[in-house]
This record gives sequence, structure tokens and C-alpha cells, in this order.
Amino acid sequence: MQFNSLSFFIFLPIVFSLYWLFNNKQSYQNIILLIGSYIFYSFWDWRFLSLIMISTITDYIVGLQIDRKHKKNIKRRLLYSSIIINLGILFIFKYYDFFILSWLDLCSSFGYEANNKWTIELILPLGISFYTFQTMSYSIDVYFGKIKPTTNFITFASYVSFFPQLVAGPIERASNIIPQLEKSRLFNYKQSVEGLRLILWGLFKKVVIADYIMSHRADFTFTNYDHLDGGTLLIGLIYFAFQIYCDFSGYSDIAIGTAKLFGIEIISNFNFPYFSKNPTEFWDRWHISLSSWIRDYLYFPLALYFMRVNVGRFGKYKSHFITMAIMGLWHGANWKFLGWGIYWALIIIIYAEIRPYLSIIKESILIQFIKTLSMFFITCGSYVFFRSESLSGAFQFFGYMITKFSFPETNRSGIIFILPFLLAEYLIRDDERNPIKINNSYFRWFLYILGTIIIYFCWEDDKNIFIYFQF
Amino acid sequence: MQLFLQKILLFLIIISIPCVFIEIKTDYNYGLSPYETILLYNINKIKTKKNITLGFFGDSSCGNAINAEKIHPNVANLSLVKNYNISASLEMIKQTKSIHKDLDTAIIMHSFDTFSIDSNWTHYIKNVDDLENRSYVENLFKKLRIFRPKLEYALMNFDFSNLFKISTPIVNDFLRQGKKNNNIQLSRVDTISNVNKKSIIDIINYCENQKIEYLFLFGPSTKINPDYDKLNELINFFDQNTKNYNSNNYTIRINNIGDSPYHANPLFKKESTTFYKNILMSHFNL
Repeated sequence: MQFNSLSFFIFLPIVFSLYWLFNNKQSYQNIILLIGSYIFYSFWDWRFLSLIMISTITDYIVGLQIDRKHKKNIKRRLLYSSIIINLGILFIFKYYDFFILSWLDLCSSFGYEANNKWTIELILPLGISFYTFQTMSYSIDVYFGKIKPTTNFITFASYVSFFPQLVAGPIERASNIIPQLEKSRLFNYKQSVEGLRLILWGLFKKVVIADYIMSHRADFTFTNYDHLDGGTLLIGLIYFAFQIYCDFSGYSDIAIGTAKLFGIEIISNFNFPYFSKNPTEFWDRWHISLSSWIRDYLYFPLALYFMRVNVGRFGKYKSHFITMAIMGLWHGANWKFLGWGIYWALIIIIYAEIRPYLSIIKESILIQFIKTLSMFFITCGSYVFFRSESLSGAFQFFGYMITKFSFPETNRSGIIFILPFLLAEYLIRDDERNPIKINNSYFRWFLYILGTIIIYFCWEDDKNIFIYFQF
Repeated sequence: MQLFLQKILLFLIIISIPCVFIEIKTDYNYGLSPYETILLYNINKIKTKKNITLGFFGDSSCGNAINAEKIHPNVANLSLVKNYNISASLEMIKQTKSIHKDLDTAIIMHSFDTFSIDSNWTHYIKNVDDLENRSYVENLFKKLRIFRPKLEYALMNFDFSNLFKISTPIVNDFLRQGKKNNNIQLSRVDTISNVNKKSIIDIINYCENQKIEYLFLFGPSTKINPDYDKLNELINFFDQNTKNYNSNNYTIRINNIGDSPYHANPLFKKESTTFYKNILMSHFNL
């Protein structure tokens, strides 16, 4: 079931009504959330619910046992068991075939033609990268004493499978959600209205901008890149930048808005990333739940380790490389995502090296604008890896864009839609969780109605899946 | 909670106003696609026309070429469009025979470009009752779906004249044609698909079992492109399976072309009807 499908808009009011029938009754509310979430996931494929359940049961037991045991080495073994089971599920379903095929490719490049008997060709379960990271972080946090484990299995299972963020994030932290699930929730009018506004704004971004305006134009560019001039390729890249942003941030807005309807606040995933002035700021604003997860559970431990072993001026950047490479591979089992990660690692390292010199330049509005624009194009560069079919395709795209650069000959019409959207984003930049903040109620209602009508007219049923569903 | 639900209700009422307006302004069949329009039209013809003894079954080349009333009052043109494919002709023959027991002759006429299609839409004919008895809400959704691209067109071209009109109405016993095609192209014949080979054999078997006389004809076309000349292959297939076919077809030129190389211009429908009527008379010794 997708957020932009008719079935979701039948499912949501049913679960919402049942949930608030038990206003202020915590255990019933959690049971309804859990059943609703499992039904939501089953619309895709009920068989893979078993993986969510394995992950849930594992980390529930591991969390309780870590808390009860006193010996450090037993706690550590329990933590490792959680990590091995979660990463094992992820590896088998997402990466196993990729590594086997890459190994066979490597062998064949040396002249050894091996028969492919080892690939298992499994379907990638929806949301697997999100919920495995989420449950792992729970056990890690319990191990380091950041949170106390919950003893209520229904509460924990509701946290793991909470349907608004189950299949494409935000990757939630137990410290944020579980305390909310442990309390009874009372219906809150203001919170619910904010939730509906976010759902409307998220749908607008996904259906109108990402799917209706940008996706065909971006697809045209990446399908025909070897026949187009460099300017057209650059414009196509810009279209993709807005497509992926509106697609993913639209999804996150709908997820946050839906959670609000159930009286639960989940973390923000985006904070107007295209207004960033440097790579560090960008990663504080883009896919915040993943970047903060990677930062807390991977980058910091690695950076501490490399600091301890004293690796020298450039050696310290090893943690950047490893972190970004893993972040790239998190997106998918493909060398192009590794290329994407390394591209970002290089950008971050170069920025770290030149930052002292940049800080000398006085911050005028013009300089801020230039920095923002430069950062936007650097970000667009990373999308070449992200959107191309393969790593070699990405390099070819870069090659054509540079060597055949000229004024764009075709596919220019989408630009006129980007400017009003950017203006709207700029006007609401103070509060990403409250996009329609207008005091005049008539004008606000006019926007609700107009937005809904435009969404309806641009709606292409549910055939446009969210890009991050594939991860 | 009460205030929240009241506002949701208010929102739904406001949103439904344009839907009500569209519902009032448009005809009941506004939301039908051309495929559905022609199917319902011909199914209705089967149900209402009295005593059909000879039927034309085929695609749009037949629909545009034959004026059944000019042949005989008991003749009906029950052609659909290309995508329904040849199996749909068999389904339409069955539908006709189930109501008109006196049906004794079936003329099956498809254009050259239909024979290579390897899918069929017979399920639409089998489930036509669902389309005829569609609910009010379903019909409204159909209307809204059709209205969307029409509004987009109207806004882009500042032309609102056709906004509430049926896109492809029935004119002159078939779907209204589009603009006349001024660039005459050669027609092409591709290899006949296995699906259509089976459909043709099924038609032959059904007609012989039901004692219906039948004749396969080719719809009008422009001159055939010699580069794609699979015509002999097609004729060989008919030769091997039946004698009841005629390979002569009405030729389309720049003066009598309609909106495609397989559609005769409606102004020449009388001429094309006479052409095929002569073939029938000669074949059936009338």
C-alpha cells in the first residue's frame, strides 16, 4: 500500500477511527496500531512480515537480556547476536547476490569463466534497510545504557512496525517513540490538523512536482543521455534533484503527518536541504534520520578509533570514506551507490581542508547565494551516480555533460515550475513541520481546496512508487 | 474530536462541489473510453435491433467502411476496434447468435495491421454487463478521469468548447473519426500471431458447428509496403484453413483516406460499402 494510493485513503480513516474509539487507552491503541501496521505491510507481501517479526522478537529479547545481565562480555555477545541477525537478514536479501555476481565478474575479467550456481535471486523485502537499522539501534542504545528496554512486547512491536515510517523511514530512535507509545494518547485537535496539512503538502510534492512535473523530464534525460547536449543533461539533472527531493521529503511529510494523526511525533527527515551552503550543513538537512544514525553508530566510533591509533592528517579521513561508502551501499547493492558514497566522502574531505580559507571571506548576501548555488550543483553531481543505471553510465553522463556542453536544446519547460516551488520552500523555511501556516482562514481553506484539486488532476493512480521504496 | 470531524466533513462537501457540477453538466456516457463506447453501442445494437441475419464483425477498418443499412435492413455492422483483436469478433458472433437465432452469415473483416497483435480483450465483452450496470459512483469516477486530460487540454489551448462533450461520439454508425490524414503512408503486413491463428480457426469451427456461413475479408488499406510484404504468408494461412476468404480489399488513396491508412473517409462510406457488397454477392452467388 502506498501513501499515494486510493487504498491508503480508505485504510487510514478506518484505522484512525478505531484508534480514537479507544481514546486514552494505551494498550488498545497500541494493539490497533500493531494490527494496522501489519495489514499495511501485508498489502505488499504478507510473507515478509516474518522478517519483521524475527527482527522484532530478536531485539525485544536481546534488549531485555542485556538489561538483566551484569557481565560485560555476555552483554556484548547479546548485542553481537542482534547485529548479526539484523545485518544477516539485510545481507542475504539485499547484498548476497550482488557480491556473488561481482565476484564472478571479477573472475571473468581475469579469464576464469565460472558457472553461476550461487545466486539465490530473492525479492528485496520492502523497508528492510529501514526497520533493521531501527531495531539494531534499539539494542545498541540499551547496551550503552542510553535507554531502558521496554518490557511490553506489543509496545516494542508497534515501535518497529509503526506503519507511517515502516517502509521508507524516517529511521526512528527508540528513545523518541517508545516513551510516546508507553503513554495513553488523547486526541489533540491542533496536532491532527497539523498532520493533515503535512499530508496535503507531502502529497502535493510527491504527486504534482515529483511525478507529474519532474519524473518524465528526468527520465527522458537519463534514458537518452548519449544523444543530448550537455546543457540539456544539466537541466535533466536539476529535474531529478527536485524529483528525488519532492518524492522523498513528500513521503516523509506524509509519514510525519500520519503519525501526528495518531498523536505520535516522529523525527524530521528534511530541513530544506537545497538551501545549504556547505556539505556539512547539507547532511544536517538531508535524510536526517539516516545521516544521524550513521553519524552516531558508525562515524563517531570509527573517528574515535582512528584518533586513538593516530593516523595522521589525512588518515583521519578514513572514517569519512568508510562511513560514506557504507551509506552509499545502504541505498542499494550496486557499484554506482559506492561511487555516490565516495563522491560525497571526497566532497566532505575537500570542504574540511578548504574551510579555514573559506571562513576568511565575508558573508554577504551575494556570497551566501553563490555558496548555496554551488552546493546545489555539487549535490546534483552526486545524483548522476544515484540515477544512472551503472557506475560506468554515471561516468559517461559526466563525460557527455562536460564535453558536449552547450545551451540546452530541449526539455527546458520544467524550469518554470522550479522557481515558484523554490519560492514556496523559501517562505516556509522556518518550520518544515508546519508548511501551511497562514492566519487568514479563508485563504488557508482556499489553498487546501486548490491543492487537493491540483493533486487530483495530476494523480496517476498509484503507479508511481516512491523512489526510496527500492531501498 | 467533534470539531475535527466537522471540518473534515466541510472539506469533503466543498471538494465534492466540482464533482457535482461535472456530474450535472455531462452526459451519462461522458466517462467512457472510445473502446467502451463502441462496445456498449454494438452490444445495445444486438439487444435492440430486430432480426439480424448477417453481421459484420471486425475492427475499425470495417466499422468505417461498411454502412450496413445500405446493404439490407437485417444486416448489422458490429465491428469494434483493433485492440480487441480477432478473438473479439468470435465473441461478438456468439453474443449475436445467442439473441438472433436467424443469424446465418458472418463477415469477419480486419485490417492488415491487426493480424500481428498477440493479445486480446475478449474479457471486456464477456464482462460487458459490469460496464452496462456500473454504479453511480463508478460512473462519476470514470467521468472525473476523462475530465482531467480534457481540462488540461482546455487550459493549455484556451479552448473550452469540448470540455463537457463526449470525446469520441458515435457518428454514422461508428466512432467519429479524427482529422483527415493528409500524409498517405504505405500499409504494412506483419507476421500473423499465434493468438490470431487460433482465433481464426476458432471462428471457422464455431461457424461450421452453428451452420453459419462466413467469409473473411481484409479491411480497406493504402497500398501495401513491399518491404513488409507478408501478405502471401497471411493468404497461405487462409488457404490452408478455409476457402471462405477474399483477398481483395478497398484501396485507400489520398482523396478517400480518413484518419489512418486503414480508415476510409466517411464521405466515401457508400463507395466502400458497394465495393464489399459486390464481393459478398459474388461469393454467396446472390
